[in-house]
Amino acid sequence: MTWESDINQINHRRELAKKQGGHVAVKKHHQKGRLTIRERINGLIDENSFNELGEGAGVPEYDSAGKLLDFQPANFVLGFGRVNGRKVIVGGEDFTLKGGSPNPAGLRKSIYAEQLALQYKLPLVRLHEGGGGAVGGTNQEKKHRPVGDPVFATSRFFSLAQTLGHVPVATAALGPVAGLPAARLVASHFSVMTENAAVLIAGPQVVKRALGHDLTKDELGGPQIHLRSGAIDNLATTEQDALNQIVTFLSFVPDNAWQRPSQVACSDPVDRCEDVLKSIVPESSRQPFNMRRIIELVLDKSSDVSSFFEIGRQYGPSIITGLARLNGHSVGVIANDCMFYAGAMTASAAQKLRRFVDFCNSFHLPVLSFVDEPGFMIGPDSECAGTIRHGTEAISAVMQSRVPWASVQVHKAFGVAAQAHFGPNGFVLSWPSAASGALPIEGGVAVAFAREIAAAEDPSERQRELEEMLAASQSPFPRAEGFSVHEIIDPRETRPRLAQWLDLAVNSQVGPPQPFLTTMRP
Amino acid sequence: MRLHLKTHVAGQVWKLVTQVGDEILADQVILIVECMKMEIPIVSTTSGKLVELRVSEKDLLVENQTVAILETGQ
Repeated sequence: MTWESDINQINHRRELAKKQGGHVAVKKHHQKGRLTIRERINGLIDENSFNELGEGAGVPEYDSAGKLLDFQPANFVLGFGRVNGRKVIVGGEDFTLKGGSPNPAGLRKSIYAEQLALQYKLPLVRLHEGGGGAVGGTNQEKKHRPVGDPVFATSRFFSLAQTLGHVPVATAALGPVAGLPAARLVASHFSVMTENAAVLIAGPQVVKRALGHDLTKDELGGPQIHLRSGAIDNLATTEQDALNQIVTFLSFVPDNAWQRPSQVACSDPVDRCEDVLKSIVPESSRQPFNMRRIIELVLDKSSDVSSFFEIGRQYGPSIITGLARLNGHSVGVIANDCMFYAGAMTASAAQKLRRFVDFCNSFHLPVLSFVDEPGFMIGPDSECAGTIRHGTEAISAVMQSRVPWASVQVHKAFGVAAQAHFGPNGFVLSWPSAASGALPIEGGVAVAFAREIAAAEDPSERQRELEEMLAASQSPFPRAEGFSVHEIIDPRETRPRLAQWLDLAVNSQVGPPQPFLTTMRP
Repeated sequence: MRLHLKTHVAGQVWKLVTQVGDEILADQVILIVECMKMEIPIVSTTSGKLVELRVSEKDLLVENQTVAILETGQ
């Protein structure tokens, strides 16, 4: 029969490719408590939905008679798959071959992942574990080849940057990830790492040689470092948890920047008014409260599970960012957490906010902002961190925002930093617990009325009087009277009010959406 | 196992609300730090016996400083 031997060889090569780094390497990998890249892909996508590309890419080994002895596959596995029925592109390094450090075919396939996502306008998921290039280069047999890429070649980082403006990108670090894979890992809208993963620019040996520090991979780039550095968004308890978080993330975003986010069926009544909201903010401004609880009470829940999916909890923790649903619509959520420096905007919180707002704009996600902003973080550490620049950058991102925006002033809105919580043409609701002004009374009075207080018969009594008088001016009622907010409301009405507004805002969007010019960058 | 309980904010110890020897539950407030004019509770992440309090009222704290040690029995 024609071509039978070739067809047999195709099938034989496919079998060999699925052996990855071989039985011993796979066993060793499993013993470390890690899954192989093919197991990871299967854990992410719908059953039997993997449509692989380039399974036949690799290096064959022949005997003298030209018979195929072995076949070393590319150590990057790539293809199409479905996540809850939706098409995605998924790929990742095969650590069982050369520790994931790219072999020639692996490098080609890994670089192709972004081009594929751009071409087919589909979400991209990259599951990373591996090192960067070796000092000798990816291909050791270069003697008779030209050195370097041709001058007319497009940089491999061009498509990496482009994807962030065109399609959602979600990544995971599931083991040591260093060099180029680490850069690819953070070039994403959502990233997650497992407890035993490490993210490194350079590994322990290079660091010891250059700087003298004797540190383990974990000490250099474990989750305790990179969840706080902001390089990685979320922690996963297991590899499957990491994959599940990616599935959750993808459920909130459209396939690409030319589509709008979905509205799913909502079983949670939109007119649900929670009594707890009435008293959740203490009357004393010294007492903190639980902002996440407010978010959960207001936004959709199903079977008592909140739709709120928090992103980057440990980085810049005075700002809370995440995705949720309201009346089934996908929304971006921004809030202050007063448990961290009263919710004050630090340099890292500002960078987190700027990045999140750009992400919401990239995929047309309306923003709901729950405001309790006491202002930029003050003090020497904050000045050294350049908070004023990062904070103003965040405000600029908000001002250039083009998505529907609603702000609920839950508590404080002071100083310049407050501007980062109110988008252009935004809908503003105020709770009775709101207080606004240039700066909080306590600090402000002592400075502005220093002479008057010093000259008074009883300075501390005069300061108290002034504070009381000015506190009245920070009340939300005069602002509502002056139509400086759309409405002052009973906190229990927050959910129905926001849901009514969101339906109007979403339906007012006309024409096909376009990619946002200021795309999110890593 | 001994668990080092740390403060997530810099500030001043405003009030100790537990004593050495107390049996502590998860999410229980150990002490309160005054920070940016707010009373921020430092809560236990797990249950256990409070074996050491490393700070006193009015002490100034830096971020991530260990404030108490819990014997978790695990």
